Amino acid sequence: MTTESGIEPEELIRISEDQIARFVVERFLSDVEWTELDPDYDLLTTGVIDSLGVLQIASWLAKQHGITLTGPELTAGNFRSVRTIRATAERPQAGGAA
Amino acid sequence: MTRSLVASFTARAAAQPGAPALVWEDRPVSYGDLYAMAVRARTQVEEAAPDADRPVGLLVRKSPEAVALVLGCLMAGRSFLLPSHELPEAPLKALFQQTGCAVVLGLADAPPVDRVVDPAVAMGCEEYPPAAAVDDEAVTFMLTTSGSTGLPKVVPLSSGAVGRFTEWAADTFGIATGVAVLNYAPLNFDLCMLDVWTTLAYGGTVVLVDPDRGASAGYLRDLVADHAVSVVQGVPMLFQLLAEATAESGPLDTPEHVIFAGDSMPARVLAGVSTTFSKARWYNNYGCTETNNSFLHEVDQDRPLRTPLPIGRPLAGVRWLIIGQDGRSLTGPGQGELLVNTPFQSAGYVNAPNAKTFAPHPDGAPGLVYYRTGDVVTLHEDGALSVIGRTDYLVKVRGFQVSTQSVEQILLDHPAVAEAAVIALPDPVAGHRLHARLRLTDVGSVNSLSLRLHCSERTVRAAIPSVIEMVTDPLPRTSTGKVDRNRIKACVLAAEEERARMPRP
Repeated sequence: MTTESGIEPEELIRISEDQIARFVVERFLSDVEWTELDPDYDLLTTGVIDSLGVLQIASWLAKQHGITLTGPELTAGNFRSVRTIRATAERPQAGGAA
Repeated sequence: MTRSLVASFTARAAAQPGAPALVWEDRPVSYGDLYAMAVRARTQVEEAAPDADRPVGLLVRKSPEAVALVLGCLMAGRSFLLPSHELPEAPLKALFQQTGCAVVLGLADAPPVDRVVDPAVAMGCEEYPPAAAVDDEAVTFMLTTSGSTGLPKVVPLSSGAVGRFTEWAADTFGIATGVAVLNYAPLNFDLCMLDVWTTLAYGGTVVLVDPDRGASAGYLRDLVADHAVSVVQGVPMLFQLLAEATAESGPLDTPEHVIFAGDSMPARVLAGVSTTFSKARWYNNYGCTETNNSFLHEVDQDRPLRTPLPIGRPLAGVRWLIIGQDGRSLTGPGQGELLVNTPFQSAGYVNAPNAKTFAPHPDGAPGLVYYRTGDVVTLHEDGALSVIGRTDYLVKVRGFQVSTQSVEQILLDHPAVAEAAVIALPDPVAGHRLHARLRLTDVGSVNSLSLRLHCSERTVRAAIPSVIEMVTDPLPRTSTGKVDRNRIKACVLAAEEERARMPRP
């Protein structure tokens, strides 16, 4: 199936919530299965990630997925949950979909 | 001059010789019999230690004879060191030596006892001379701190300090003739000032718990019930055992005052107290060996219970300050180290430096010596105080001051957590980062995600451990039964070094 613009969905959605959840769990939550991490779980108020964690995720997005985030987007609020991280990565400014 | 403990006891023995002073192994010892034993002990002390200016060492297990030996020293006007008989021989010897004890007396021959005495043996013609008069300032009891690291510190208490304390305790908890008081602590503990010595000075009956059976819930319940105990003071463990024992048999009817002492009361133990006693008033007692009690909080049982319990209000005559991070006294709500001065206070350690611990403070009353408690407290809007933890456990995480002890407490408040240790590891960026090691009541019953949510509802983000590790083995403990955080820290650091050496995939 193709969209009207003819772009494959896989290309548009370049990263899935599952992929992000797998990475977050592997790096920060060793006792948890990735399926247990709710996409809306607040990673910030619960101390799973801090500003250093934000940089680690950003670096992973860049290296593994070619998604480069610019300075203004590297705020903790943009990494609050798996869902927020994905939304951040999807934004056009992220050098993604366009 | 304050009436001395031994003068009060002697007056009681004359007024009510047939009344029970002690209950030991289900047998009463009357005031008359205990007085006679104390007089014999006095003679034995004076004979073994003729130099009245030097302290006497005592090495005793709890028994009526041991109580008599302490009273005998008081009658002879001697100061005496009463350390834990469970200490190994080497530190015991060091303590007796540092204190300048002329001789070490015991009821049984075990090193380093120099002379075995037996106050129970009658000696021909007995005389009853009045107790030696001592000044308020003269040292009587010398107790030791618990000494979790290194040699315990020796805390000398003056005759006046002890007399004033017993007067306060008797008045506050209604200790008088006909009132039975449970003594759970070993005889060398400061808690005995209340449950043993105040009771004997004011004519009550001390129901002595045999420390060898101190972990038997049924034994403890029977002691309270069979001897109609009215005042129960103890550490959280005592209340946990009594709660277990009364879960089936129903609540205890006789206690009127129950006093939580020695350690902060965990939420789950406190919850059990409601069904343990049918009519008792509850008190959270705050104090230490150096100053004895300084604050008291009566728990309002009609309101929801929150831990840690506040320590409440200062006792009459107590002066206090809370010193913030800038070294100045707090003027409003906030957090800092508690400094106190009490009418029951020691003049300073015998065998340790005092300059930092016992000293005046620029923001305090001029010339008044304050004791630095080492406890971090919060002063609430309503003027109540609660203890957060020890200053030793305060660390900075990303600029926030965090008490690893209070983080442990938060984790322990989660029903799935059986044991918790939180350690602070040095971190180049954050200053410190927290590592929690937990044992759950049931393996796999909860994961770190739920525990993090639990923490985030109760504390600031900096206080949430960066690593929450679950183990299945019991956490290592020190010889005094406390979680051995140093060992856990060494173990975590070693594991991290090991990981750092392995190449990253």
